[in-house]
Amino acid sequence: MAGNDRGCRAIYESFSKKMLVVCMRYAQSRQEAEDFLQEGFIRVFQGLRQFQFEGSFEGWVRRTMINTAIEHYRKELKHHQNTNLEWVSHNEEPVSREDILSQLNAHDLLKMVQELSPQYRTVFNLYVFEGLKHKEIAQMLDISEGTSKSNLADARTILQRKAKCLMGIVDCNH
Amino acid sequence: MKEPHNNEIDRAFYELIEGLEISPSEQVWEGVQKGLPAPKPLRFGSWLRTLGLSCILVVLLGVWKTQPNNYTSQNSTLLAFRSARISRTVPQIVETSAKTVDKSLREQALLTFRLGDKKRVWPTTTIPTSAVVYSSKQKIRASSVAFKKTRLYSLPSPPEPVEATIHDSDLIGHSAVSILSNQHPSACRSGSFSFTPDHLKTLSPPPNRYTASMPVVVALPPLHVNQPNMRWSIGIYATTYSSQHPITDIDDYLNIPHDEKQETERLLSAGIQAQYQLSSRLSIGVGFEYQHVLHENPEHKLPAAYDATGTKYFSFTSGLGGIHINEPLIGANLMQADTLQLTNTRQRISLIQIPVVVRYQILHYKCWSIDASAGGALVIPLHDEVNLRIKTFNSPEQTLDIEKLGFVQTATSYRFGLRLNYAFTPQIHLSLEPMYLGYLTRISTYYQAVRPPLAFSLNTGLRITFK
Repeated sequence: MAGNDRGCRAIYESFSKKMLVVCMRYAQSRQEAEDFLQEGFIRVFQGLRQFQFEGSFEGWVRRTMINTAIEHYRKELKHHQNTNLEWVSHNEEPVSREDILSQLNAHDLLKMVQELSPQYRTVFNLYVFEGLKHKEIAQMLDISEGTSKSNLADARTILQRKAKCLMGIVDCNH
Repeated sequence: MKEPHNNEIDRAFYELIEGLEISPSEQVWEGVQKGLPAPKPLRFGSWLRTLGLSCILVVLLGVWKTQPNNYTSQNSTLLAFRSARISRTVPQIVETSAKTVDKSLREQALLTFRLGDKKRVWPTTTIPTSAVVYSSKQKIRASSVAFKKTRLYSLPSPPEPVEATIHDSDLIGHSAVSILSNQHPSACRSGSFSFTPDHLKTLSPPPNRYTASMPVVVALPPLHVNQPNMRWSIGIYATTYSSQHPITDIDDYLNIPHDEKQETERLLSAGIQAQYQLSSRLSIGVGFEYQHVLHENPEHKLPAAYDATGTKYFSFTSGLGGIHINEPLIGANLMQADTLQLTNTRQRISLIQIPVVVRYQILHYKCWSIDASAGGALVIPLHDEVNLRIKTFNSPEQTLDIEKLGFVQTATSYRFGLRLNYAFTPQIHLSLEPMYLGYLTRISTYYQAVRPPLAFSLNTGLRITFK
């Protein structure tokens, strides 16, 4: 594949916009997401011969991006603590989906996901966007199933709290 | 991607973010380009070298295998076999079918007066059934294909009067003229030769006959069943094979066919194979295959010839498919030789093959790919049955029917191939695979020839891969 610049460029053009959003969900900043995207595409092009045409090509590219981000997450895990604990309160009044859709946009939500700690963020993404079960997430991240469930619940609470802040339902300036 | 669970937060995030697209900065693509290894020049040299070496190997094997057959040794085998294995109680003998010549001519000592270099014929006896035959042969030789066309038809306008004598002038202008007769050669004497027009009608002209020494193989390529994320694939396949292989030895002096026979082989096989991908280019396959082989070897040994003066060359021609067996002999003493003999054999073999084949992808360009294969097989025969009929025309005439069983043995075979593959879709491929097949050891003690030398099989068809 190396050397076939036009082919690589065509693949890049086709998928880079979608994949950047995927990477942004797993990263804490756009800069970090672009790093994931760059590394992910290098892996895609180097591994193109290994693609077995056993599923959709986009799915394969997406999995490559997610794996790239998670590998980065694994390396960085020990340096990160769950810094969002102050946001966690399980007695929050739930906010409705309709309110979120009507008052917030995609970029607001993406920023909220990025602000989650790496572990909360990864568990939330794998569960909500990739559709994995807690057992699969636990195996993938080498954590317990209970931890996965707990992280997801915490992530939801934090996101709900942040959504309320943005929507002005609660005052978050204190 | 699955739909998120019935959680308000999950659904809101999924619906808003999934499908969102954001353009990355240009630096990302630049970084990707820098991260990729430098483009390698297309290495035509390497695959050309591989291709060239493969061709040279196949040609060398072909040259080695196409060395002249030694009929003397085969005859010795037959004689030894005959003395040891004669059985007159065989209930049923399957005779070799005559495919191209009037059935009445089969297994008869058809006397041919061939115009040798002197172009003179002095037959004497009135021949009950006879015909003048113009035999024209055309050979088209290619690297692996040789076609032989034999035409056989009666004289369009027989000489008048009815009781006529053939003179040289009658035969001038006709190359390769033979006169066929079912007269026993011992009855021939010097003198004049006469016949009636009715005699000429007894030999109806068969249609033109084309035989090819290249076997025809129709193979169904494996239908692979791939397991996702697994490097194993399993396939089933079937092959049928048919070849007719006339063997001719040309007499250097007379420039006529000296000895001929015709081998026919038909094969039907079905098997299952498993293939393991060792790398992106290299794979190894192992299989289990059942084969049924039918091998026919009709051979006419009619070298007797006579000449009252001992100075002229005559020869006999058998009625086997228009094949001529000619042997110039001199002197009456040759009539005493026990060589006037017809041998028809038919052999059936059932066997199991366990092939192991390694494939290497030489070239891959867009939808096209070329891969080379090499391998061998362990051949385990299950059943071997030989029907043999030997008919002699000596005094008294004898017909010996012989049946033989169980002379099979484990053998090994080898194969080389070059497959051209075109992928219509990732799952559907059209492939063409010339393949050289050979046996290192014989399957049967009687199996004289397993496929013609330098025989290529041509496997072609669709390869369908199921996910």
